[in-house]
Amino acid sequence: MELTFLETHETFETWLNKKFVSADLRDILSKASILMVPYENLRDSPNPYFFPTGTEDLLEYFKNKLPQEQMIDVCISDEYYQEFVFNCNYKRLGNFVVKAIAIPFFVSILASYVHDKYIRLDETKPQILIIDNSTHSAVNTHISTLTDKKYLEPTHIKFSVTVVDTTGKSKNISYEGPASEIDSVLMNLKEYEK
Amino acid sequence: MRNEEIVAKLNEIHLQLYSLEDFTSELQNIKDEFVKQGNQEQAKLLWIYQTIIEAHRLYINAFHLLKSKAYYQAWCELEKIEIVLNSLKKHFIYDKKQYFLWHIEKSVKNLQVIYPYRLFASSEILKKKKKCSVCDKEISIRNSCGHIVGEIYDGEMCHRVVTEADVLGISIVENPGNKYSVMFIKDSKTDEQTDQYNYETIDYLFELIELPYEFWDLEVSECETRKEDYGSVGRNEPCPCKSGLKFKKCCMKNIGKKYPHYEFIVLNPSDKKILTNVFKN
Repeated sequence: MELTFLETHETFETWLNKKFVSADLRDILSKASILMVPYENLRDSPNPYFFPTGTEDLLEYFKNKLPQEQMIDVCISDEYYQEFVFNCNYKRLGNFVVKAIAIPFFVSILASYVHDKYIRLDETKPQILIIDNSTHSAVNTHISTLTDKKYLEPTHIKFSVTVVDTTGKSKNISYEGPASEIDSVLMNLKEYEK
Repeated sequence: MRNEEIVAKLNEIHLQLYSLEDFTSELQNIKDEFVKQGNQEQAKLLWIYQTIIEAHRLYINAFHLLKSKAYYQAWCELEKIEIVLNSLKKHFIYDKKQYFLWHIEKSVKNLQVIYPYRLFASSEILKKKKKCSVCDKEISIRNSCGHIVGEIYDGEMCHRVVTEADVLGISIVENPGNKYSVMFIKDSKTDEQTDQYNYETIDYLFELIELPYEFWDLEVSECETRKEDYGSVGRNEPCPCKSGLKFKKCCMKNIGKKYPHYEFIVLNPSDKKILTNVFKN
């Protein structure tokens, strides 16, 4: 599990002023309280702005659950939009920029998405109990660790959130680790609620 | 064929009394009728039944491939089963007794544990354009067709069809998006592929089970490698694992390390014990 906290100067304007946002789109996006922003320059490509596969699904999920006064959008013009699939089975949820006022909604919807999509499915799968041979009792080691086979791990997720408060100050939280930790990870965002 | 008759037949699926191909074709005809009538609920139910049959078909294939020692092909079938069951679970949660699905899922997981594979070559893909499998409409991020990926429409699961893509690269990973891309050694001169993995544990198991639906399970315990495990071998003597190295340069380094010990629970157990490596000697 890797949880990183950073102070940042990134704001909504940082993203709205990018060249991949058209003037018309900028007006629309300025009304949003949550932006899904692209990864930039992850790989060498003529169009270096990538969103993770599954963005379409997550965006729809948020749109269906957010109250009317809150808006989410992807921070890119349609013609630049493209998705990447990277080999590793880490589920990349994406990068978000969130106004402090939208944090309660963001936290509850993202947590519910991870529960619906990954945790619930993981919980239906057969589990393998490991016994300590000397004590004959169950040990707290996961089968993926003991066998050194990462593909046996439960689902891992990866995302990053930049919270912009009313004074324009920003903080970034990045997480990479088990999906099952989502609630405790998102608790860290609660203190930025305004 | 009515729903109750289909369910009754599915309840006997493990007895292998009928052809799965014929059964699924029969269900396809019934599903086509429901689609014509616009009965989405029944068409979806038929999709669920067909998906259950597909999981069984793949499992029987995997079992026979393992019996005939076609390990990599069997591995791919196991991966397909995992994908099929994940799709199914979105619409149908089964208990441990329904249609032998738990037996299949548990067997797949247990087999994945004992397979020797660890590293995979996996591609990085950039999806530039995609369309909907249901309505064929090109999808843009702000102009979706309204069909939801993974949902069932007209008795078929909706997915996205990538129509334009770039391959960005290939990476070596331990936890791939899909597990088909196992790494094998290729001779650069002869171009001949070698299967370098040791499948002794799988062979051991498949000597003990005869039929796909025969009960078996896996128990795993955590052991620690001890000096005594290697008998009275001296530091400078050849390693008992037959690597060709001295003991001190090979398995002696493992003393104190944890390793998994597998025990199979089967109807006809054997007293034989094996000590294996991931790779062939």
